[in-house]
Amino acid sequence: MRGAAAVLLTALLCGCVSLRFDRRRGFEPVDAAVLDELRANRADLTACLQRLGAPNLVREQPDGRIALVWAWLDQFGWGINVSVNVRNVALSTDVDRNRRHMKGAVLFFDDELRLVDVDCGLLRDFLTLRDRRRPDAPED
Amino acid sequence: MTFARCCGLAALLLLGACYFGRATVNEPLDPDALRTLRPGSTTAQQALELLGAPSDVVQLGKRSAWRYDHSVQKEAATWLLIFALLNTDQRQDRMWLFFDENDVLTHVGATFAAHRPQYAFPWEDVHEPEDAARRDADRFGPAR
Repeated sequence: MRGAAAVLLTALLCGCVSLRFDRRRGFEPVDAAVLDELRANRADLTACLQRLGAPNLVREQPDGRIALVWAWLDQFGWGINVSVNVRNVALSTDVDRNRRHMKGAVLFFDDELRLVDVDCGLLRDFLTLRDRRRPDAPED
Repeated sequence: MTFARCCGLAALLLLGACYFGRATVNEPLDPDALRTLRPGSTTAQQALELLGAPSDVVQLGKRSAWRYDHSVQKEAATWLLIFALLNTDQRQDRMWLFFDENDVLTHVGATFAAHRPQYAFPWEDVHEPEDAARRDADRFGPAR
């Protein structure tokens, strides 16, 4: 009897509660050994593009350097979604343990398009730190 | 009910809770077009006529960079009452063209991977080198 009630309850819940196991994969990871080799040789832009392919992003930095970003994602985790309807108002909440933080490698090039620096890690860290807008020109 | 009928019924119930989705962004990039680009001589106007409008243009001091891309995303999911398994796999063709201050092409970077995404379960390992090589062999165009 209890088993049947549990099955019935689960069947009724499926319209408003869902658990999920979710995996997201995106783009191609960069080989750390290739990055080390490019950094050691202070490679130029041509060599970097040949070895790593096309970047996901290209940005000019506030200091004039050019940043090329290669990004990738392969993460999984659990999530739960609960939806209820209260007085004709739909309420929904979603708890996602799968923190979709893209990883990335950022290669910085000087004005002669020579590799001067490499950063690896979570993409959001580089972009918040380095992808700043240029300050507005002072008004006359 | 025989075992075979039970299996058939179970399969039918599970199939009803399966989902496969595919999403694409932009037109596929043609590797042949890439081969006609000549750093040092191809102009921005010629690149524009050959490849069409880029999806992004970035100013880099006096230089500029144009981005062309094509994405393919494959999703697979299955539901068992309140429990769902989802997998999303996205890959991309990308091309970046770098021009100098005279709008002459100086550098080209290209990645062709939009043929590699797969439908899979979350726990499955995909994109092993041999698997990627097999998919590369089936891709159109000479640049792999």
